[in-house]
Amino acid sequence: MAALFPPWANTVYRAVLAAGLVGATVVVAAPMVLARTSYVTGEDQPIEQPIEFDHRHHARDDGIDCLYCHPGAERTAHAGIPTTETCMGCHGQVWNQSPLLEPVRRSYFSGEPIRWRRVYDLPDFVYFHHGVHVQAGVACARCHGDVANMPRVYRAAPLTMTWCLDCHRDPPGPAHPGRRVTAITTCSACHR
Amino acid sequence: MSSPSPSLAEPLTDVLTRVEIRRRDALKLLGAGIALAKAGCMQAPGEEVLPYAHKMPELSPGAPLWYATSIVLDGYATGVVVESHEGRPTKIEGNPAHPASLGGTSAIQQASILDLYDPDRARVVELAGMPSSWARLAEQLGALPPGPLWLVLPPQSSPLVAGLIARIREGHPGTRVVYHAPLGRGAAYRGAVHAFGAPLEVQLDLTRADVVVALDADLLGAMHGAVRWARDFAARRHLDAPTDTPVRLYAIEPMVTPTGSLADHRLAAPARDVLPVATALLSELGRRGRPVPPLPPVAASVGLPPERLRWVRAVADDLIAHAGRSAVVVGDRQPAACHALGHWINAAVGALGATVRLTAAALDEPLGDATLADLAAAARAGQIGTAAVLDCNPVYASPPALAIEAALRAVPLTVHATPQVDETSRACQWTAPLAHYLEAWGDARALDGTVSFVQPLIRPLYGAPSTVEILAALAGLRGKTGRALLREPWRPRLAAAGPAFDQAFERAWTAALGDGFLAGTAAPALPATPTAALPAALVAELDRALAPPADDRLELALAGSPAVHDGRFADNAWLQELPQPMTSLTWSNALLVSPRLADRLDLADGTVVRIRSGDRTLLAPALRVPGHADGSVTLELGYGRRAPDQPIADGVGVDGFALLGADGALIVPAVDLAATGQRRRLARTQLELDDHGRDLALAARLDDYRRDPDFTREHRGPLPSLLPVPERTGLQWAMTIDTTICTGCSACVIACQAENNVPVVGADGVRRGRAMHWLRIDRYVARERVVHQPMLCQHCEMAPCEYVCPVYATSHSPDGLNEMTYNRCVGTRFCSNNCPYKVRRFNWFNYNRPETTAALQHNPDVTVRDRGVMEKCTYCVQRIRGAEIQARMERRDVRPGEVVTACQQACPTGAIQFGALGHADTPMVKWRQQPRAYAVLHDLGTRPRTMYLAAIRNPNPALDNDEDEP
Repeated sequence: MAALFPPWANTVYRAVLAAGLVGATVVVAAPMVLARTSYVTGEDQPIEQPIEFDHRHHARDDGIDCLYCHPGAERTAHAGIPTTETCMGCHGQVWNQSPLLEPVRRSYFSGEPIRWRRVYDLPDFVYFHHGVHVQAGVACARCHGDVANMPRVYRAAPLTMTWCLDCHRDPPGPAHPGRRVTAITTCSACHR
Repeated sequence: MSSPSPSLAEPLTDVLTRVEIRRRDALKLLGAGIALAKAGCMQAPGEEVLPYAHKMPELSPGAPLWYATSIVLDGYATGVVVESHEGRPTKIEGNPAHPASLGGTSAIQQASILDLYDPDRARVVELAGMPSSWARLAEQLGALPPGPLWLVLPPQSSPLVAGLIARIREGHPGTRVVYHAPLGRGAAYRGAVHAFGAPLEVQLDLTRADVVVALDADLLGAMHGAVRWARDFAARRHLDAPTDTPVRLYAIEPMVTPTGSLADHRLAAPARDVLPVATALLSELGRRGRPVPPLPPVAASVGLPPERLRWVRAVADDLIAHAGRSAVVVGDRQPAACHALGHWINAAVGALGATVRLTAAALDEPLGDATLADLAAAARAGQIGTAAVLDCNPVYASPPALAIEAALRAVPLTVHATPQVDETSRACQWTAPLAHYLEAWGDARALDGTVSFVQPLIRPLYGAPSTVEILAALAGLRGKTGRALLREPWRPRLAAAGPAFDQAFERAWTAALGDGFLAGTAAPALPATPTAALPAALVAELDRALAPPADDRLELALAGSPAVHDGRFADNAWLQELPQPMTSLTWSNALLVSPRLADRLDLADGTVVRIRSGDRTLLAPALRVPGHADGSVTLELGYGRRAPDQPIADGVGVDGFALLGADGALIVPAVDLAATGQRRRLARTQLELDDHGRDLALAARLDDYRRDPDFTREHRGPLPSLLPVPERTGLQWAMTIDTTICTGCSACVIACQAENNVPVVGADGVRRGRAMHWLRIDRYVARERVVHQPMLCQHCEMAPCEYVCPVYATSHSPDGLNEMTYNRCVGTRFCSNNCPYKVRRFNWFNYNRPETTAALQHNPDVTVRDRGVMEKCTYCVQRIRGAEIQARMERRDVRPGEVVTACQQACPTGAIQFGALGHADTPMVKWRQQPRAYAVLHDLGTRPRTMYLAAIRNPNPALDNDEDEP
C-alpha cells in the first residue's frame, strides 16, 4: 500500500506548526505594539483648540513662567487651565482689540468658560498629583516636552503605564539637596 | 448628451447591469473604502476641559473645600462639615467642635447627601397638577383667602423660624401651628411638666456616669442626642486595662436596640410594662430610704413577675451604690407618666445636677400649639382658610382615623412644600419643591440649646425655595433671600450697635458660619427639683395606666426605623439597603417577633401575618428576632409608602401607620396576629447569628477578664508560616476596633458608601448575596448577648486573595495595604472565593448610573467601578495617599492621627481607630497592645492588620446568672 502522506507532507506540517506559533505570537503582540504606537496614545499629535493660543509667544518670547497660568501645578493635583480672568489680566491691556481674542472676551463678559481640548488625558482610574511631582523637582518639560516651542500643544509623552514606571522604578536623583525622591511602584500610588 | 442619470424609479437591478461593475473594480473600491474609513477614524477628540471664567474665591480646582453647616431632624440640629468638590458637595462628616456631634454622625445624617442628588426630587411648582411658578405661589401666599391660616411643619428650634411665625401670627390673627413629628418628643416634655411644671430638656452627662438605666430608651442609637451620648458613654465604657471599671448599663425594652445590645442586663419586656417597672423602681428606692414622693395606692398594686422584681431590686441597689454617678433615661415613646417617674428616680439617686441636667427646651413651643386632630376637626368644620404643609408628610405619617387627606381636601387653599412629591402632595392644590438643607440658609438649636447655622453649599438645583423663604412669603416679606432673612435678626445679636457695627457684625458672622455654630450658647442648667408630691394629673394618668390590663393580648410596639426614620428618607437607596441593626433586613420592614412567640404562632421568617388592632388590619411579613420580648411585637415605621413619584420608596415594606390609634401613641395595646398562607422572601445580609463555636467574636465578663486577662491568647501572636514573610519597613497602616463600644448603629456603613462610591444593588441583589457594602457589621448572638463586629477587608499580611489572582490585580503595598487595582481585574472572583472573611464584593452589573443626578455625589478621588470588577475596603487609600502627598510636599512625615478613614470619622463612639503601627502614642496602637486584642480567624495564619478588642461586659454580681461566659 502506498504511503498515506507523501514526503513533502512533513514540510507542510512543520510550516503549519511554525506559522501557528508565529500567528499566536502576533495575535498577542500586535495589539500590545499597537497600543504603544503614537497612533493610539495620541503622542505628538497637535490638538486643535478653540483659540489659537501659541505657547511659543507666551512662554518663549515673553518668558512667562509656567506657574503664572498653571499655578495649581505647584501644590495641588491639577495644574489647572487659567481662568479667562487670568488671560484678561494682560489682554485687557495688550492686544485688547485682537480678533483672535474675541472668544476670550466673550467668555470674560458672559461668564461662559472657554471649552479647551484636553491634551494630557489620563484614564479615570489613574490619579496623578502635579504638586508632589513638582515639589520633588520633576521639571514640567520632563512630561510636557518643550512647550515653549510648540505652536499648538501636543502630547510629548505616551502616558502609558510603562512610561510612568520608567521614572517610578528608577527615579533620577533629587533636583535639590534635601528633597526626598523614592521609587514608588505600589499600585495604589496611582490606582485608587 | 450625457447618459441619463439613473432615476429613483428605475429598478436597482437595471442600474447594476448598466453600470457594469467588474469584480476588480469592486475590490479596488472596497480597499479604498477601508483606507478612507481608517483615515477618518483618527484619535477621538479629547475630553473638554473647562476652566472657570472668573476666579473662584477659596477654590483651587481638584482640592476639596470643607464648609460647616447643620442637619436638622425633628427640630434638633447636629453640626456637620461637608466636603465640596468644585461647588459640588459629596460627603458629610461630623463637626468635631459641635456639641451634638463631636465628630460623629448617624447613618441618616451620612446618607442625607444622597437626597440632594435624588433624581426623584420635586422640581417644579404645581397648581392642581399643572406647572406653575414660585413667583405665582409667592403671590398667592401674600394674598390668602379669608379664614384662619394653619401651618403644619416639623418641630422647630430655629430662632429665625420662631420670628417668622410670630410675624405670621401678627399678620394673620388666629394662625395655628401644628408641629408634626410622628416620632416626636411630646411625651418627654409633658413628663417634665408633671415633675417640674415646665417642659424642660434632659441633658445627659454620661462621662460622669457609672450606672445607666435605659427604660425603653435607645440612648445610643435612635434618640436625638444619641450621637453625642454614644461618644460620652464610650469614653466610660472603653477599658484601657483590666483594672478599669466601665460604666454598667441596664436596659428594658421589647426589641433589641443598639443600646439594649450593649446592656449588661437587658430585660426583654413589652413597652407597656416599662411604666410598672419604673413605678416599682421608684418605690424600691423609697423603701431603701431615698427621698421619693408618696406614690398613689395603685402603685402598690403593681405586681411584677419575680424575674423583673429581682432586676428592679438589683437596679435600685446599684443606682444607690453609685448615687450621683448614675442616670435613668426614659425613651421618647413611653408615656409622659413614665418620663415623670424617671425624673423622680433621678432626683432620688442624686443624678439631677450631676449626670442629668435640666435646661429649657431646645424646641419652640415644645408642648405644641395645635395637633393634627385639631386640624382635622377644624378642616371638617370649615374653619380653615389656608393650610400650608411644609416639609412633612402628614397624610402618610398620621393615624388613619384622622383622615388627614379628606380634611386637607376640605380646605379652600392648601399648599404643600416638599422635597419630593408624596402622599400629602396629592391632597393639596399647590405643590412646591423644597430646598435641601445643603441649598438653604437657616438656623436651629442643638439638643443642648447651642445655636447652629445652616448654610448652603450649592445653589438650589431646581431653584426651590426653603421653608424659611416660604414662611417669609406668608409673613409678607416677599423678595427676601434666605441669607438676608437670616442675617437680619442675627445682626443685633452678633454685634453691639456702635460706630464699627457693620464690621464687627461681618467678622462675627463669618466666624459663626466658619464654625457652624455659636460656642457658649448652650442652654444653662436650671436648678430644677421635682415637686414634693405627685401632681393630680400624673396620679390620674398612673391610675389609668397602671390598672391591670383586661387581657394579656399582644402589644404592638411601633418604632422609628433606624434607616428611613418616619418615612421621610424612604426614597434614599443607601438607607433602604442599609442592613438594619439587629435584623440585617434591607429594603423592607417586618413584624419583629420573639422566637418563642413565632413558634407558638407557627411563623417562619417571611410568613405573612395579618395584624389586627380594633378594626384596622395590616399584612406584614414576620421576622424572628432573638431577644425580642414575648408579649410584644415590633413594627418599624416609615415603609409602605404610596408615592409613585418616589420609585425607590413606593410600595417597599408595609405601612405601620395604618395601625396607629387616633391618639398617635406608638405603643398599640392590643393586637391579634394570624398567619396567612403567604410567604415573602426578605432581603437580609446576615442569616446566621451563631458563630458555631468558632470564636469569631470574643466576649468576656469583667471579672473573668480580670482573672484571666490573656483570654484571647489563642487568637493572636506569631504563627509559623511555610511562605516567606516579607520584611516591611516604614509606615505600616492598621486598624483596631473595640467591640465593647460598637453599638452596631451602622453610621460607618453609609459613610463608607458615600466616601467610596459604593453602589446599591436592590432587594433582589441582596437576596442573591450581592450587596456591595465594603464594610458590614456582623452580629453574633450567644445567649441573647450581641457582639457587633464591623467586618471589612482585614488587610492580611499573608493575604489569601493575593496568591490566587491570575492577573496580579490584588497585591500588597509596602505600607501594608492589600491593594485592589480595578483596571487589572478580569473578574475571575478567585480572590473572593479564597477570602476567609468574605469581604470582597463583585460588580455583577453596571450598578452605577452616570446618567442620573445621583452620580453627582461620587467622590472624584475614588474610581467608579464597572461591571465585572472585584472591589473591597481599601482602608480609604485615597485619604492615605492624600495625606502622604501633603506630607511629602511639606517635607515632613505623616503625623499621627492625620489619616482618618471614613468609617472612623463617622463612628459616634470612636470604636474604629486607624493609623500607622509606628505611631506608638495613638489609641490604635495602644488598643492592640491590650490583652483582649485578637484577630479574627487567627489560626488561618493570614495575619490580619485589622485587630479587634473583645467585648467586655460588666454584669452586676447580684444579678449574675450563668448567662454569659467567654
